[in-house]
Parts: sequence; C-alpha cells; structure tokens
Amino acid sequence: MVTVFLDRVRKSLDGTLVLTEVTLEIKAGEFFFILGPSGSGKTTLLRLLAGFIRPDFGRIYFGDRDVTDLPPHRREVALVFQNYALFPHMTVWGNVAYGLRMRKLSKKVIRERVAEALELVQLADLANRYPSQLSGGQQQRVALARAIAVQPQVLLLDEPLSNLDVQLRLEMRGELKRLQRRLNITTLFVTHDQKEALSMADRLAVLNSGRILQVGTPTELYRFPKDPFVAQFLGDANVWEGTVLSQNADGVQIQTAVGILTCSPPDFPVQVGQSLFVMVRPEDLQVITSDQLSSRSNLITGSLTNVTYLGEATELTVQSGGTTIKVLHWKVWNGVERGTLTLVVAPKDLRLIPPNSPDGS
Amino acid sequence: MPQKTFASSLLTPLTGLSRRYAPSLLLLGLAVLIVFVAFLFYPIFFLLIGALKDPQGWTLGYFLTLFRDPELAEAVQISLLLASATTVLTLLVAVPVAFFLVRYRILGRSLLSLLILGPMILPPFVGAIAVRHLLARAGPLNQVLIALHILDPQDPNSWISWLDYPFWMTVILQVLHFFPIAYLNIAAALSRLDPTIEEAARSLGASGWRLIRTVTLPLISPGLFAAASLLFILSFTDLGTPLVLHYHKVVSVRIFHLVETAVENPPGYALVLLVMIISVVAFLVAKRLMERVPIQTLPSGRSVSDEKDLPPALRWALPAIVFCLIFVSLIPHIAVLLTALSDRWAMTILPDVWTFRHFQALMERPLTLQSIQNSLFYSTFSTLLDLVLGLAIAYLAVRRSIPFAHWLDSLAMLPLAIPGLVVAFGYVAAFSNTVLDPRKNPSVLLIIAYAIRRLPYMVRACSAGLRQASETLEEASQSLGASPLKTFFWITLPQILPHLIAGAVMAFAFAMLEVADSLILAFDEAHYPMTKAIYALANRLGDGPRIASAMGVIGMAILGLSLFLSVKVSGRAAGEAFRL
Repeated sequence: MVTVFLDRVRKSLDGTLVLTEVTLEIKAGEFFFILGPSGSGKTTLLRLLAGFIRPDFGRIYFGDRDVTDLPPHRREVALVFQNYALFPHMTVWGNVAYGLRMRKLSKKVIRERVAEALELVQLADLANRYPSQLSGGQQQRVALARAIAVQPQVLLLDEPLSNLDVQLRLEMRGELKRLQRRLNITTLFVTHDQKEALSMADRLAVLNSGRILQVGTPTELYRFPKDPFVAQFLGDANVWEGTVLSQNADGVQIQTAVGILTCSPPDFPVQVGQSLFVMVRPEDLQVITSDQLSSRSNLITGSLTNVTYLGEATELTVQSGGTTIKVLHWKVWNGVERGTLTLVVAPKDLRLIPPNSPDGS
Repeated sequence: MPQKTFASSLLTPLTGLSRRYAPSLLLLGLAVLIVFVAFLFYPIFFLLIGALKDPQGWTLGYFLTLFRDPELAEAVQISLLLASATTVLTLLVAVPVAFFLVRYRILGRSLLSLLILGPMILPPFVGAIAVRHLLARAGPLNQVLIALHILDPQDPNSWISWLDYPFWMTVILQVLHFFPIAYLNIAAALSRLDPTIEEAARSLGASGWRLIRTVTLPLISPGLFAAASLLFILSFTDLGTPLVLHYHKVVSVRIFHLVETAVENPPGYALVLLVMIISVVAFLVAKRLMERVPIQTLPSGRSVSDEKDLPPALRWALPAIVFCLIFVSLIPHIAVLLTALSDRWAMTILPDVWTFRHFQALMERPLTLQSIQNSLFYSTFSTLLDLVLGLAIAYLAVRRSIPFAHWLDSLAMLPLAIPGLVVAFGYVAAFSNTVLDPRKNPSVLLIIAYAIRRLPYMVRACSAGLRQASETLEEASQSLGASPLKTFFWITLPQILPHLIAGAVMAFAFAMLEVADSLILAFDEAHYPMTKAIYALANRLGDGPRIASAMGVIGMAILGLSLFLSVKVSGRAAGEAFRL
C-alpha cells in the first residue's frame, strides 16, 4: 500500500500538450477514479504511471520512491488493459503466473499465488484453458487475476469494463469494488463512464483537456461541482449564466435567462454585479400545478416541448427564456404532452459555480 | 568558458538521445548500420573511387571509354533491350492471367494458383542447361517438329538452329521464369482493390474495357510498376541464363568474365557502376510512379468476393489456356528432370535410355557432394544472419524505438535496386588481398551476400509479423515485471514465429539456389556452392550436363519443399514470400 503522488506532471505527445501541470495525490489503499471524456488525457496519465511514457516535466512518486525514470518492469505496478491483453499463446494459468515467473519466485510460491488469484476471481477451474476459449467476462477476470497475482504496489485499470455487456458490467462493478476493499491495493481506475465512477470510487478526479478540474468524493463532485464541465459531465445538469442582483443571510438573488432565482449562500464570496453559473440537477426540479403557485418562490415558467418515458421516471424537456431545461419527473407523467408548465426548485438545490473556474470558462 | 559550453553542447544531444531511447537499441541500430556500410556501401564506394581515379588524379575517362568502346556500348544496349523485352512480355502474360484468376470463378483455381508458382523453384540458368539440349539441332524440339511434318527428317540443313537466336531464347526462358513473380504482385494489387470503386464506376456507366482502362488499371498501377521494376532489374542483371546459353554479348556476362581476368580493373568498375546506376534509376522511376497513385485500402469489414462467373464458352477454355501456359513454363523443369534421368537423348522426342546413374554420381564425386555441403553450410548461416538483421531492422522500424529506424528500413530495401551482380563484383574488388579475400575463402562473403540479397523479403516478413503482434501485450508483459528483452523473447517472438519461420525457410531455399553471388564469389572448387558446381559441370564434356541436371533436380526438390513448408507453417498464401 503506497500513496501515489504526481507533482506538476506535464506531457506533450506529437507536439500537442496532452497533460498540463497535473498535481494529484492518491491515498494509500484508495480506490481512485480518473473520469474524463475521450481525448481528455486520462489514458496518457495512466501510461505515465505505468511507465510506458515519461513526463516532459514533473515527478511521479510511489510512497517516497521517485519512479519518474523507472522503466515499466521495475515499477511494481500492474495494469489491466481495456482489451485485457491476455497472452494468446499461454493458458489462463500461464498468464497469471507470468508476472510471478518474471519475479523469479519459486515454483511453489508461484503455484500458491496463481491458485489464490484465480480463486479470488472464481476461475480456478478454467486454469488450463486458453484465452480464446473464454468469454469476455472470463477474460476480464483473468486479466484482473494476472494483475493482482504480482501483488503490485499500484493497480491500474484502463476502462476494464467497457468491453462487457451491460448486465455483466453491473455485476463486475460490485465484484471489483469488493475485491479492491479486500486486497487494499492503491487502485487507479480510468473511465469515461460517470456512473461507474460514482458508484465505485472512494474519490475521483475529473479530467478535461489535460487538466484536473476537481477532485473529491462522488457525492462532493455530484452535489457541489466547482466547474460547469464537472456539473455537466457527472450526470445531467441544467446550467445557466447569471448575474448577482443582491445577497443576504438567506441567500443570493441571481438574474438568469429563466428568471430571478434565489440560491443558498455559496461557500465562496460573491459580489453584487458579479457573473457566475447556476446549476440545478433535473431531479431537483419539480413540476407544480397552478393551485400551488402563489405560495412559492423560485418559479420557472416554460413550455413543454418533449416527453420521454424512461421507465422508472419521465424526462421532460422545457423551453424557457431561450434555453432548454431538462426535468426528471419521478412519477408517471399524466400531464399534457405540450403546453405551459411551471417548475419550482428549492434554494438549497441551486448550486452556484464561480466563473473563474480552473478551465477558464 | 567557451570550451565547456562546446563540450556540453556536444554532450547534450547525446545524453538526450540515450534518455529518450534505450541505449541497447541504439547500439543494435548502429551495429546494423555498420553491416550496411561495410558490406553494401564500402564495396560500391570502392568501385566508385577506382572508376574515378587514374594515376594522374580524378577522371571521368573510364566512364567515357565505356561509351567509346563499341563492344561495351553494344552490350549495354543489348542488355537494356533484353530487359525491356522480358519485362513487357512477362507483363503481357501475367496481367491477363492474374485478372482472370482473381476475378473469375475458375475451375480448379486453387490448383492453378499453386502450380503457377512452379517455375520459381528452379534458377532459370539450370533450366537453360537442359533447354540447351532441348534446342540442339538434333534435339527433341526439332524432333517434335519433324514428327509434325514441319521439318524434313532427311534434310538436316532444314533443321532449325534455335541456339543461334540466344537473345530470344534468353528472353523466353526469363519470361517463363519470371511471370509468376509478376503474377503474384498484380494479383495482390487486384485483390486489394476496393470493389465498391468499380461498382461506383459501373453505376456511372463504365463497363468492359472502358472500366478496366479508366478505373481498374490506374488503381492497380502501383502493383504493375513494382512488378515491372523488379522484372527489369532481374532480367537486366541475370547472369546465369545468358551465360549458359553462351550469349556473351550481354553486360552481365561481360562483367562475369571481367572478374576472372583481373583484380584491379577501373574500366570494369565503371561498367559495373553503370549497371548499378541503370538498375537504381529503374527502381526509383518505378517507385516515383507508384507513389503517384494513392494507396487503396479496403474499407474494414468488407471482404472481396467480387468473383464473377465466366461465360459458358470460356468456362473450360480459360483454365485450359492457363494450364497450357503453366505447362510451357515448366518445360525447362521437365527437361532438367529428363536430362538427369536419361543416358541417351538424341534424335528422339523423349530419352530412350533411362538411368539413375547421375544421381549416384552426385554422391560419389567430391565436387558435387562438397558443393551440396558447402551450400547447406552457407545457407544455414546466411539464414541466421538474415533472421538477426531482418528482425532487428523490422523491430526498430515498426516500434520506432530509435531515431534513424526508418532509414534502416529503407537501407534494407536497397538490395532490390542494387543487383547482386554489382555487390558481388564489389566484394571481389574491395576485399581482394584482405582477410576476406574470396579467392582464398569466400565463405564469409557468400554468407553475407546471400543474407543481404534476401534481406528485403526478410524485413518485410518480420515487419508484417510485428505489425500484427500486439504492442499492448508487450506493455502488459512489461508492467508485469518483464524487462524489454524478456518481453521480446516471451511475448513478441512467439507471436511472430510463423512469419519468421516462413521467412527463414525461403531465405534458406533462395540462398541454396542463388546464382550471381555464387558464380562470381566462389573461385576454387573446394568452396563451390551448388549453383557454381552446376555451372561448372554443365560446361564439362561427357556426363557433365547430366550430373548438373541431377543437381538441379535436387535444387528443385529443396525449393519446392521449402515453399510448401513455408506455406504450411505460416498459413499464408505461397505468393507472399515473393511479393513486396
């Protein structure tokens, strides 16, 4: 169990800056996620940690060991690849034993540890199969077993679930999480799937255009995004630009395209006249009927343009003040398909995002 | 301090290099480079200096004498004509055959496309030995014509002296031998063609010959140019065929005789360089023409199954024609076999006395047995050298692990442009009176010459393997704790092994039957490889040609078997071993 520390790491590939000054600390034993869209630099970050490429600037530490210039085979990391990268000419057993053989362990120890790793992923009875004889899910487990068998200091997972079908992916999420808890290896999981990240991570970092926008627990990032991109990338979000009209102990009044909204006081100072972003999750918007109208503030009036039935909920698309608002209605929608609609949102559910966020927008 | 800055400015790029690239790989690249410099550039450079310098200083005189000497000028002219004739005729045969075999559902196609490789299992000059007999005035061909009542059996004066037309005999033998090579290149180009492009042209109203002329031919032109340059250079510098047909007017034979006469021979150097320049120009022109057409790639996920049925009239005729063509191209082989198995073969169509005596003689004569042993020895080591060089170059180039890797890759292709004849002559000139002197012991030079000759194909085979081998697997291995070297042996090598074996088998087979290097570099009988022994025997009176033919049969068996093995092991189409 070691901490992983990236100190102002910068990397260009083919002349384009892929990572700009990434500083990040992953705690010992933590299940940490890097979440970002494709092209955000998350794979580059992973390859830097694995040692396949070296940073142009900055250092990488595992514990107090500076590994920046160490080649991959001396880093004590294990990587689970997106396409598993199982050695096709070796059996399941051979694949899992490979890293142990490279460490020149005794035959006995190798046998024990391979058996143990295969037991962990419940593949003990398939040890003599070749990768081509396995299903996608089984291959995935072999890749995992191969990585944990070497007892790495850091386990790196590169979108390991993206090639599985939906059902299996959901199962593997739980299994991976249990396994990680049990082994207690510092683990870095790279993905573009926000649901994966939110459901499994101890903490996560959102990466975009080579920058880390925010680091925190899933709840923190979902509830309190500090950046419009984070807000929108972690689930659906309605984000409006706004100007501060006034503020008092109860909250801040903001002028937005959809009307004047009152928000709970933010954790950063604001000034009257300042422009910033207001974010609200679709599930925090409620549709109210006309008889409830007069008693409420924070009302948004718009016209319903689309109703999408999602099964457990209904998504409503509402046009207001020239913007499109998404609303998640948790009950069966019995209302009209078209027409005027009034929405309400509690001040505590409106999130203010400072304009001078790290990515400059 | 200025000195310090100078020193550090020198060191900075060096330390930068070794930081970015593994020092061991840099060293490997350097070692490969040294092999090229020592055994490709130095000999040519030696010839160049020799040809440009006379006792008075620098001069172009030797080159000028080339053009003033009417005999030499004629030789160059004849060779150019010969190469052009062979190239054009070969393409005329190969293009239609490739077109029909690739595009149409033909009866027995898989058999035909295998048989079509037949001509390649015999160096054309061995075939020529037997064909020389076939074409003699009293030989079987005239006997066939007599049997057909075309010639008068009573009047020997009416019989045709085929061998009085060595130009056309050489062309015919070369065409028969080379057309499979052309066929393979063109068939490959045709099958790589995206069928939707032709479909698009058809939907726009083009069809038949117009479609072929405006769309198909332009798109396969890279394959055509590649084949043409290969054929031109092969024919232009073919030594064995004209030599055996006693056609001394061509450049290659003149160069061969130059080697026998003198060690230092500036006009000879100039002649060899001229041959090289012509070959390189042919290669570069073809390359330039090839690059004008953007490479077509098939859209992924779509296989080419654009085979059409032949019209009923041609359903039998066409395979029959192709089969006849293959039969004709195999006549030299049949002639070699018959010559080797016969004791008397004159005034009859087929031999009248059969015997195994000549094969027995192979085992008993010191020259033949020794030469087979020599060839096995040379070929084994040249194959190993080829494997090491090919693998190193392909690895460095495909993985781009050192800065000058793509250079090495281009260098490895040079033997396609620089004829074996030139390199061998350069070796004799440059390494005479050194430890490597071929007159004393040609083993090392022969091994290297064979290896370099086959290197382009070996590099291609290795690169193809490496490109298919997954780099992710290598990364997985490294992250599991395997060093780059261990990763190479445990992960990379097993993946590319079929390619390596296929490449190695072919390298071995071609080394066994290599002609130009063998004829030029082996001086004394004790070191003769098979091909030189065949040549030497063919010129002996008595049983010589028959024993030579028996050795030719052994050679055919080796190459045929190798081809078969290479296909079996790699699971690839046989043709890939000959294609670029």
